[in-house]
Amino acid sequence: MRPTFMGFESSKTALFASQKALDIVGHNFANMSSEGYTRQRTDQVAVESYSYKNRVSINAMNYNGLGTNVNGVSQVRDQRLDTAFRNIYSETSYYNKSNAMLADIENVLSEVDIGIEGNGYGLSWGIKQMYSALEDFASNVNVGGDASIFAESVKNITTLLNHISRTLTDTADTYKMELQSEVNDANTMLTKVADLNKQISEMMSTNGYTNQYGPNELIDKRNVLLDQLSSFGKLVVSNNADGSVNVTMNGHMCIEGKNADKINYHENSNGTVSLTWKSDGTASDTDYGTLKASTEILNGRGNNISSGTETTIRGFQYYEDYLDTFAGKLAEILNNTLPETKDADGNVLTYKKLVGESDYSNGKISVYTDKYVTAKNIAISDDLAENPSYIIYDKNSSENAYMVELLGKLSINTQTFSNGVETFTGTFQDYIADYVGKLGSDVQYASSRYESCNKYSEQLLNERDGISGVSETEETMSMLTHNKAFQAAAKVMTAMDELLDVIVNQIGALG
Amino acid sequence: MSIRITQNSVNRSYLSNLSNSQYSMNTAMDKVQSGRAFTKVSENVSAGTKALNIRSKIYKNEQVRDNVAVANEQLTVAEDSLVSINEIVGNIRAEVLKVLNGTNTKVGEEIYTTVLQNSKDSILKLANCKYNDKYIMGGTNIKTQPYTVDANGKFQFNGVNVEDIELKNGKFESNGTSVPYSSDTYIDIGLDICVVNGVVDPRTAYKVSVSGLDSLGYGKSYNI
Repeated sequence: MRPTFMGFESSKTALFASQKALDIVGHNFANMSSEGYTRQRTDQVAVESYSYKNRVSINAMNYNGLGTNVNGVSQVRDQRLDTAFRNIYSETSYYNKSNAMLADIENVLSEVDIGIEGNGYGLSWGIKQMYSALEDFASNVNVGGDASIFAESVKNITTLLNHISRTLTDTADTYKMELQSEVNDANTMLTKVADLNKQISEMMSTNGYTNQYGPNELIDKRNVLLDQLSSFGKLVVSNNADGSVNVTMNGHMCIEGKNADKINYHENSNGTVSLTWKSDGTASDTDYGTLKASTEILNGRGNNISSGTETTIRGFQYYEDYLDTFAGKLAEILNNTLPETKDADGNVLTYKKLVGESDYSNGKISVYTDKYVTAKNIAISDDLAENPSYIIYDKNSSENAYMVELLGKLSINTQTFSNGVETFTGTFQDYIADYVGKLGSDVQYASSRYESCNKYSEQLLNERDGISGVSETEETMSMLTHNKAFQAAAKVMTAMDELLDVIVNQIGALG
Repeated sequence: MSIRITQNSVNRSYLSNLSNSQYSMNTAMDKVQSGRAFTKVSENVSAGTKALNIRSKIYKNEQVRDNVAVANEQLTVAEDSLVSINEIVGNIRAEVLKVLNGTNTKVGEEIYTTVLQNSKDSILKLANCKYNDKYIMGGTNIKTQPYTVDANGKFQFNGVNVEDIELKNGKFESNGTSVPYSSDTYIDIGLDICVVNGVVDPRTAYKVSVSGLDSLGYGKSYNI
């Protein structure tokens, strides 16, 4: 026997379902351009009426046609695409950061500008000026004016070395500050994800959500944060039963349900930086991501590493070494060629000192000519600064054997420059071309890898949008469908009403 | 198989393609306006390093060319002097022959003495010639007159009697001490200068000083 008001029930469920579906379509339209929004849809299923649900066996036919039910609102998301995107995004961020840092170094050490006379503004220009001044002076060894010009050119190249080396260190410092703020950002994100985990798991238990139908907006928020986190390092995300996720970054479990780890930034005494996890002190920058790019290049010393905290990438320290060796070699030549005193047999006892190490202490700058110089502290010696004619051998003679020797040493192609492990043999000019070439290739490599990874990550984003994004045509069509369904259900209700009307009011009433 | 197209993915593709096109156009315009094929070595590594090497070759070549021009001028002045001295010496020879073969009258001898004395003065003046207020026949002496005449009328080179000078081991000496300012001045003409113990290897540089001793002679006997 059929229940009297069953028709109304099924129509009512249809009306509710259509209204809910339209709500969700409106929600999708409203959030079409929201960041990280995943399209939602109602899961409508037909109501079942099987006898195994009842204690008493019934005739199933009486209970067919119970209408529809909305089981829940689900999101459409593909986990494989999420993982693939996060992996490629960490690689893209790594190359992006590398490219930016290396291009900055290249700007500081730039040598191929046109410059004032076509030789740029860098060390090659300094060498050229010194060479020209020395050639002029060698032809006029007794002229004070030419000596003065030569002294100026020596001062020029020492100031250039100071300036370039200092700018390089300053650039490294700005990147260290940037790294610190990035670490702070990462820590904030880790905490936020843990908080969201807590919220989601609470919602799941109190609001009747299940694994399939969860708090969609919170899950979307969490996914956006995880995407952003993946730029710092390689993430592996695993789902827990209570709705929270466990996140492993660079091989270390950093988020476990409600608990999040923190990254510590520490600057060592030799200028290198270390990033470690607060919980166990292991390194946090081991696999792709911007953290690894930053520390690799900040701590990079190429093949000349001298401590465990340095890396074998050609970074800031590697190029500082180049500049220091250049300065050292220059000082070695300038301070050991022009004789000052000779013994009775004509053998040279001491040499005139043209450059030295400058030291700022007690409020004044002193130049020490017997200490080892670096690019940062090389300076013209006091003797030469006070009186450029210091290098004139004899005002009445054009004897220039020692000047010519200085010329020869500065342009000879068998100078050896030793940076620790790596050595280079060639002229000063070749040495400059060597490091400029290495830097150029590194920048080119990072830039091309970044472009290829970026293309791939954009493609994955488009694919992900294809699954999870809102398509207006689809939603409009859905809207039309539900609208018609609503109208049809209303019509059914009217029909049921008329039927009951006949039964109640018209059967057995005569006249 | 068709992938769902959403407005977001359409926008994203459009934006990224547009950015790439704009970047390419910007790069091309930069190249056209600045006239440079690349501004950083990373844009073209091999050409960049080659350009650096070529620049250094250019300025070295220019320097060598300038050096050679200066040397040319200086040596031309010296050459002119020596040519004139050569003429005078030729004249002296003719005069001496006349004296030897002609009649010896007192007046004639006085005339010959005057002629020879004038020739000696001319040679002295020519030997003390200057280029740009530098004496060029004095070896490395450029400030004071290299050739002077002492009380006995004997020539002195940088203060040392020319008669007493002899050449030992490639250096000019007089009674055991070396003649002052008697070494050489060299200029670089791009031959990888080699200097050992303060002495320039003459095969690796160009000698630009002219020593009067080499051209006008030294010692007592007639050395060819």
